[in-house]
Amino acid sequence: MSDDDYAYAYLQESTVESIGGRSSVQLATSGGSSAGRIAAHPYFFDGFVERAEIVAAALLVVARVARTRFYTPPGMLAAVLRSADPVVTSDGRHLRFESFSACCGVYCRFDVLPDGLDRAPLETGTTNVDFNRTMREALAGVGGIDPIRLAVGTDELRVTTLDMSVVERRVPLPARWVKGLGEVQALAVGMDVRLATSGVALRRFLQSLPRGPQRGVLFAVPAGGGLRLASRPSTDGVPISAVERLRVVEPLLRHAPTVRVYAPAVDGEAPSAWQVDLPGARLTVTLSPSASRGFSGEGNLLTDLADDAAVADADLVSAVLAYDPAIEIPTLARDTGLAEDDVRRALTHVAAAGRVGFDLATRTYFHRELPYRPAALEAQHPRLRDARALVEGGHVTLGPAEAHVRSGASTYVVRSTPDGDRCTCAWFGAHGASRGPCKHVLAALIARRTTTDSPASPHVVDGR
Amino acid sequence: MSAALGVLPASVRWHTPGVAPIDRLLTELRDLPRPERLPVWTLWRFHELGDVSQPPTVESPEWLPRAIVDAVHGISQHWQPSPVFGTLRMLEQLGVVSVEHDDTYVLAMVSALGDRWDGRVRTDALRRDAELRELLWRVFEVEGGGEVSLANVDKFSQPDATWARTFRDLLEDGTLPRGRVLESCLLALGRDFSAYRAGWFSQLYRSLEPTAAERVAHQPLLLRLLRSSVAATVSFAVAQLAVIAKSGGLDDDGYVAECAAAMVAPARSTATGAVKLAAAVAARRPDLVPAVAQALGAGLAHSHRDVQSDALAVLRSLAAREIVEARLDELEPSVRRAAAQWLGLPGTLAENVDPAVAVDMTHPLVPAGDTTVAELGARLLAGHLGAVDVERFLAQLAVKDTAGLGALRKQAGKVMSDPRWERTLRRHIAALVIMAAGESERVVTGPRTFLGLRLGEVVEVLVGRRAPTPLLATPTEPPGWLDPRVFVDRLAASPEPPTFDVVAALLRLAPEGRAEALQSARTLPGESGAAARYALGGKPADVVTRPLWVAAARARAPLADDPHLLAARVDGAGQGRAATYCLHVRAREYRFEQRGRTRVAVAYHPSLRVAPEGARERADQPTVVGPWDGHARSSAWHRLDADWTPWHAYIWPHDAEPFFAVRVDEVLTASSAYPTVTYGTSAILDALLTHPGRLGPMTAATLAAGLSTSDVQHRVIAAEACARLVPAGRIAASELASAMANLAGHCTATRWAATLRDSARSGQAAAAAVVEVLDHLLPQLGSNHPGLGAILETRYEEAVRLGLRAVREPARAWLESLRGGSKAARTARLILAEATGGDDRR
Repeated sequence: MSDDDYAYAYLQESTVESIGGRSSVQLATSGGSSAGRIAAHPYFFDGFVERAEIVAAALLVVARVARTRFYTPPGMLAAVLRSADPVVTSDGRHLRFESFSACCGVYCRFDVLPDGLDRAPLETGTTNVDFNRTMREALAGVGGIDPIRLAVGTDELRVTTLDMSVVERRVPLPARWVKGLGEVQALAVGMDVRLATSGVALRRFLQSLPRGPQRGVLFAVPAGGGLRLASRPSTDGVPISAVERLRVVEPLLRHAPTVRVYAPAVDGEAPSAWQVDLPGARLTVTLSPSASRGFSGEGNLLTDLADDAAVADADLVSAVLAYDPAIEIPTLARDTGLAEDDVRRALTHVAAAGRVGFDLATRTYFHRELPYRPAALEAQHPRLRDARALVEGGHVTLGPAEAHVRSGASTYVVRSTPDGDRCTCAWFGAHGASRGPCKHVLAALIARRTTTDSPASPHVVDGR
Repeated sequence: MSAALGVLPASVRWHTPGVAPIDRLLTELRDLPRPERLPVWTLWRFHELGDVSQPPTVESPEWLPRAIVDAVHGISQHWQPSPVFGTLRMLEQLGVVSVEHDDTYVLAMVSALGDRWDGRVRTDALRRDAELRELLWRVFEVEGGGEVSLANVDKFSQPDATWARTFRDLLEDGTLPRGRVLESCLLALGRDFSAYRAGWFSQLYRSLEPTAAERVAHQPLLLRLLRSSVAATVSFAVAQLAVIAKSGGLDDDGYVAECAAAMVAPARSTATGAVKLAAAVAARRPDLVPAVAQALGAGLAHSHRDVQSDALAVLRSLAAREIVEARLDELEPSVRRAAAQWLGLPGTLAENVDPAVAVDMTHPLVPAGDTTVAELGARLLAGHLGAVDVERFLAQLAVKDTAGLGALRKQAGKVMSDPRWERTLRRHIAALVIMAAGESERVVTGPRTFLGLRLGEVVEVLVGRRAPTPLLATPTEPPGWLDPRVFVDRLAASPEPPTFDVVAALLRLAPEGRAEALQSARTLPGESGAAARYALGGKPADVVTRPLWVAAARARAPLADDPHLLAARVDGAGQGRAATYCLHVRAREYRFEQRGRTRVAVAYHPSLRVAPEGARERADQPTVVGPWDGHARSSAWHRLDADWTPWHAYIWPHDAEPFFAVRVDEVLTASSAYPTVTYGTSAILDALLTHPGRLGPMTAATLAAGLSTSDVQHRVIAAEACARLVPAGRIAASELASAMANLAGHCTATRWAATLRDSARSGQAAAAAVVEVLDHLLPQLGSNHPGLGAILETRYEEAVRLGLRAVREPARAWLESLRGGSKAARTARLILAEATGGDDRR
């Protein structure tokens, strides 16, 4: 196995059966942790979940997102799709199934709420779950309003006696998932409910759209009890790009009394989260700001990650995380003795490793420990790595209102303005601040912190 | 690659006496250098041997098995022109290679078992290879994608060489069992395949014409398909179940348990079919009435009026009042009214229409704030070419403010050398950046346009041929206006302004503040000063430099003839005389052969006429564009890239017509029934929302075409433009209707109907405008116009929503002329019944 590969090892394939007239879903698990310990095949839940057709449809949506590439970059038409398997997290009250699209532009989470489960999950932890083709086909045939039996993992003793063989599958190490999960939670924290509508209205809205792909950014706004698209931002408008990506939720809308839409308060391209409320469950699909922008490439964590002081705080915060169903910053601040702002910055570091998510409905963080072991965090963020190299190479000259950052043969000017830092580089020209800071802005920021933290150091950071 | 092997024909190459061709090939392959071991090519080499029945007597090269595996992978991804899969089978049977029979192998079979021209190749291979026939069932399980799937291979094969034909042939001669094929089709449809690829299986099932007994046997599978996420599959299942119901074999309990999903299928006919089946179940099974009523509740949530009406009718017959009441707000206006009447509830409808949504019209032109020239340059080089940013960038370069542009030199160089940016504004900006960085003059070739020549005046400054001077034409107000007082101050400080800058400034003079500016302009020197005074309402002077005076005249009275220029014999369109434009659309039939049949299609060729006749486009006089027609795009503007569009729109804020007269052409392309990709359409349609000047017939034509575009974003902008411009009277309803009638053949009426519905949802004024436009449009359409039913339905529902009963003449008479049982005729009768207060309502 190459260093870039990740191997799933399941004790058996996931299955869907009909037992005594009731559907039964047995999800095989691989890797991750259970009850705070590394586990090869965690066993989280075995019970009944309300209602069969909804749970089946929602699990299929999670699986569909994981194996779909909503955007194919030019030159990648023949790329083989080897998608990562969804992960499931149990915090002892909820089961949260999460997946990313292969293009990393669509994040999907299916939360089964305590009301939807007939008993509490057995253990806490996070693991991969297998969604093989046969199982998906069977899941598509599940109907009816009765509860469905759902098992996440199996009692290993029982499996051992059945002498099941291990099912292995290799995929590229889903490093983009890890980055994407960090970015999604950072973006979600800045979102508020912008509009609420019904499942019927959202279905009609999606069905009324032309089938072709949508280019550019538009805004979904309430109109006549439903939704329509507008070309300009408004206070109740939700920015949306490549709206066809939202069609994945269509099979569930028949069952959804309410759909809540979250977005940040910005005028242009921005992510949006579409939370479909279901009986005893919620399914949230978060769309990246545009089809070609995967979440993994957004840079919303970079400013906080550039803060070295937060690393130690992150270790402290990590130590007290214990799969709490809802992590609240004031509680975490009290438990760690850190200021709330320091906790937030520390959480950014923890989130960058995919170890916390954000629940929009409750506005709280939740803990997960991904089964993957990404390489050094900084290697996942080339902009941050390059910025540090610029500072260490003495290429940043600080002035009172601007910084000059020498990169190759060019010198870029980073200017502080009331709207944030601006740079004269091509990257900033193309994206502005919408995708996090460019490496020159980051370098200037690191250099400023360096001089602030070290009063004895010269005001000008220049290696010459 | 081995040249010797590549040139010899196979017949010569492999017929060495005493040596089996396969042995010779294997021997030669063993010595093949590593770079030449190309997988698919290697398989082709064996294919050239033809049939080989004897196993080789020499060892295979050790690299061969891996190469064959890679070849299988390659042909599973790319459809092969020849049947090399047969060769693979031969190699397996000869024991030369062993390949895993996984999904990749199955797709390789789909790709290369047959010949796209000759169906017998695939059929014969399957007849003689029993193992392959067993493997054949896997094609119902593996979806494929890209070039290789059953659907795609058949789409581009001859009708006699398709996979579907292969199956039919093998069923006919008994090679394959019919029952298993039929069932496999249905199982495949339940496999979450894409709509495109799923369609192949439903087509095959239909083409095999299953008997009633076979369909009944398949009923559990068909019922499951009602929940498919592929709309076409749901339609297929409903149609099959309808046949079963007709034969009396429908599983009523099973149908009622599953049918709710079909009630919300997007296709109207599918949902109405599902409602009809449910109604029949309720009639024969009273015990199932509550469950049927619940399912029909989903039908009320369908977006189409007919489905809602049908579901309501059944629910009324079942007295399911609670279910209807719970869905009341989700109903179309006419259905809601009927439901409310039945329930005895007030039928107020207008509250469903939101007040007009305020749209921030200035948004695209709001200046980006305090921005340095380098920051602006970076934005422009990245393709963010907003009109105001371009103007501000030029204004800074014109005074030699080039600080920091050196950092953009590399990026600018990339743009200059990239052929994708040929004829773009971006390339011109890149040239300016390079010159601003101190390098020698860079010439960017392209058609001579007013905007290109304005850039040329800035180049003069950058290369030192002209002294740095503030530009006159930089706008002071959104969206592109220039305050006359500021203009006069600038002109006073610039004794020898460049011509194009003066022309641009004159054309942008705002209507307000002219008298005050004229007072200040009394002492302005030279011909520029005289032209400025004339533009502001002052006295005329001698016409020496025509462009200045044309611009002054068009600024003074933009839409009227100018006596001073007429006296000076500068009397062309857009000069002394105001130009008017007329768009003609000529239909031309052409015939073509497709799959052995002659088909007829109609193409629509637009052309532009300009009055007075003889109008000529001149780069220094942008107040007129020349005539053009569909074959010869004579306007220079046609030859520019789309990224010039935002800047182009604001040359003359007084009048949008010259801009739309040339840019409507692209919107027509985007709105055709078979649109090709266009890149400037959004910016063109955006100008409908933001242009402050006169909007005339060319604007109406652009809007009419925009309402029929296929792209989501284009339709959204067009719907907003309609909602804003028609109620405000900036485009008369009759003018838009005339433009739509002119383009009725070219545009798609169902798209018009959908976009107008979207427009009407912007507010009550917009909804009333839609009704008015349609009242003007309808009498201009033929009674059999394609999509007329959808147009009439929009007219009907919006009028009911607003409580508008009256129908204007001559629309009323035209509606009365519609006869028959078509959807259009039925909806026409509903509209007339509203007008007369009758009760011809469903």
